[in-house]
Amino acid sequence: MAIPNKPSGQSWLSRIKTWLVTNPNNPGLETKYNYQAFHSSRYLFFFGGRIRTVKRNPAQTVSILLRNLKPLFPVGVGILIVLPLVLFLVYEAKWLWHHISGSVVILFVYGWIHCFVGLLRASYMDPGVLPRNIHITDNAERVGLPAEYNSSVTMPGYKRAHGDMTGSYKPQSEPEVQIKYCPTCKIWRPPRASHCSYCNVCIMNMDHHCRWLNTCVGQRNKRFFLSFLFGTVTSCIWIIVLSFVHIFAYRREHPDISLAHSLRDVGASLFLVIYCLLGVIFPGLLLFYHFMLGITGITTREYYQIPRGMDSFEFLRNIWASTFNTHSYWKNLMVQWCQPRGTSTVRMRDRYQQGDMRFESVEFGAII
Amino acid sequence: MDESPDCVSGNNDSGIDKSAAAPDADIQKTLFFNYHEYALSLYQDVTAYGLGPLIEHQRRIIATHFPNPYAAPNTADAMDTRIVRIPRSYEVEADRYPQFSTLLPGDEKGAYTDGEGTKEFKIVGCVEGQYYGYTSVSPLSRYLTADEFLQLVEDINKFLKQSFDPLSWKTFLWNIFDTATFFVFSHLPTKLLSPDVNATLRLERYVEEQNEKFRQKHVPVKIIRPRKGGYLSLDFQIPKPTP
Repeated sequence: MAIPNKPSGQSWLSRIKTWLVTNPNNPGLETKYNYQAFHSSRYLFFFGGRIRTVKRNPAQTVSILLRNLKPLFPVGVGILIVLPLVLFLVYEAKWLWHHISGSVVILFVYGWIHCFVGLLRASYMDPGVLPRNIHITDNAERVGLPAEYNSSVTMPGYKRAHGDMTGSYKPQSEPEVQIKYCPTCKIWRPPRASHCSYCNVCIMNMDHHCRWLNTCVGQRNKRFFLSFLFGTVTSCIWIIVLSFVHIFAYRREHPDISLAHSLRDVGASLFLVIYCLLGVIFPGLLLFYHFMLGITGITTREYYQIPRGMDSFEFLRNIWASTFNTHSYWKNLMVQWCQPRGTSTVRMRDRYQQGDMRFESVEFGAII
Repeated sequence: MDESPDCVSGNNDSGIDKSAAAPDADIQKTLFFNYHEYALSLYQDVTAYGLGPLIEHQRRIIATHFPNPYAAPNTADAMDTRIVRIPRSYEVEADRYPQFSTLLPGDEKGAYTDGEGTKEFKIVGCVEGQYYGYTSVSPLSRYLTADEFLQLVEDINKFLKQSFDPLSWKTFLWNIFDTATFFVFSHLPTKLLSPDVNATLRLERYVEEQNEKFRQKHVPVKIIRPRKGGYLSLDFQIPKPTP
């Protein structure tokens, strides 16, 4: 049950290896810090628990190659992002600096850094993990949970005096929130928190589990995710504009050179244009989608829970009648996008206290 | 209102008040109750002569105190202390920021009562060494009055609002500043300047001060640091109630 703090008889090389990549499920692992004891989640830790990603899931029914590569998806995305930066700096930057202005290059690099930092922090840092077993009941492993904990509970919500989005005054009759007990984490979850089966933890204000980042997007990393999307879209658009400027200026100066020959000089610009046109589609759509979710005040999970048979007005009225909606596009956006990150509630770098129930997994029959 | 002693208040598993059949549109049909509590029908009666046999009863007792998950199992703390859990309330701003209920367990509209308005924790039954009563009133009522509790939780709620409100000006300005500088300042020790981290640490300090006051007044109540519990509920550690 409680993991003993076994002193490690390893060589210094294997100690370094364990510090670099820590799998909390490894038997015989020394449990000095919280991250080494966090075996109930599906996290894999690096650099002494400072960054994390989700382990590959052997039970998933996708190809073996894809399963094993999942933790490396953010690295793949990172490579896709670094490539245009390198090409830009090597081929475009000099010409742009001398012919237009140095500031366009600097602006591009600024946007690109936002994108890259956003990607790294969104995929490798705490998305808002909630501690386990805070609301455990007596002898849960022996007698199971009380019957009252098995169904979701309806609580009164915030009653707003304003009307619906059509402007007509109609006081909200039944503002309610649904509270559900997570039987895996043994906590009563706040309404917008959710359990992620990939990460096997409950996440505060969970938006969705992102495959490309190989982690959940929740309260603590949503702004990095959005910064990543914004940075990608603006960098791509900026590259497209600047590369076209370069190509057109070149064509104007050398109207007699054929296309095939001019590829030698502005081939990189053309490649960047095509690359970024392709690259802006998915993040651009995703950004637009999150913007629409933001102004209507719902998360991705709530969007997928709304029944599909509804017509669009009924759909929007339902969203507007939700107790979470502030009835203002701007305020909704602020609430969705500017949630304070707060502090980490399950701190990985804290010293592990023997028997800390927040990291144990209580199943019917045993405490694992 | 149903006058039988088993369940006088409107509380049942789904939280819907049965007595709200009155055709008054302004009455909220959903009542707030402490969703941590649960009812037990298999228990031993606590009498002056000791414990009775373990049998199914008609009238259920309500579990209002819970095991302490913050203490390592099989230690003195784990066996001698219990936790009273104060739920989050969603009526203030619908979970835009966490807020705890300012009512002592037993005072909520949807709480189990015995029809006489008793606000004391009275032991009537025993389940596996833990003692409970018929109502939602918890042993915390032995140590804190409703006013003291209200003051305490209101102060904590203020810190939580400062910490987690996305619509405050301070948060907005900090977000702009932080975003423009690649979130560097929320990673370095300068994160102590950010409103959310700042208010969180002040809350922890406030809870420590309150615990110190309890120690000085010899009140055996300890507030568990909210950050450790993930702001899911406000936990009060009390000594295990005995008859």
